Amino acid sequence: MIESYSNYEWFLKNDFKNYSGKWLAIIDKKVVVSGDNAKEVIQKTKTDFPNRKPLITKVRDKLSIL
Amino acid sequence: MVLTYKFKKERLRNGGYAVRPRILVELTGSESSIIVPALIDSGCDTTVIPEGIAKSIGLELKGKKDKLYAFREASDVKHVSANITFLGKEYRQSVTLTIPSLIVLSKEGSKEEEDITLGVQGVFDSFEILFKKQQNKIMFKPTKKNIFFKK
Repeated sequence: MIESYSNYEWFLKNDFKNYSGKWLAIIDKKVVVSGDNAKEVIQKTKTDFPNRKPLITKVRDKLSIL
Repeated sequence: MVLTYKFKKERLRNGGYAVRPRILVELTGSESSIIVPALIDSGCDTTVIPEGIAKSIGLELKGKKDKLYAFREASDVKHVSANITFLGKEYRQSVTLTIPSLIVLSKEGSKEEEDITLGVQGVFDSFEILFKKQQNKIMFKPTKKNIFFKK
């Protein structure tokens, strides 16, 4: 299984209630970076983990329509 | 071959839950790529990508300006073509497509940024998509002859 798919499965199973409304970077089934906007989280993850491909997501905590 | 994904039960701040279809994709720009569990939305005309993500990976914001209307709000957007890889469990299952997309430009002073949503144009044309909520499965079967899985 590719690494990103195992991170995806881990993301699906877990409840990120402590990160409500935040953007997350997930590597090796762990949240390694969190923050208020996508750009900052992606940049910090690139700096701290330059050779990895994290799963980037937002913890959406509101009922929503696009 | 069929790509299989799942729904995610997501806790809301009002104490309830939403169950959302999340598809694993890699979005590639000129500088880098990111992997996201994108939402899939049959009510969305096209794929939308927030500006922060587009800039982070080097997606060029040179396309035509437009407005995206959602319920009672409108957002400024730019048209682009995005390379999106639909990731399977194994590398050989993955499919890459160039999909017409909209970059949602950030509103001044606003911190709100939604994540990537895959809409109808370019996605629903390329896959037969089956939502099996009771079995917690979302199945993507390529429909076009020119879509190839990686070997």
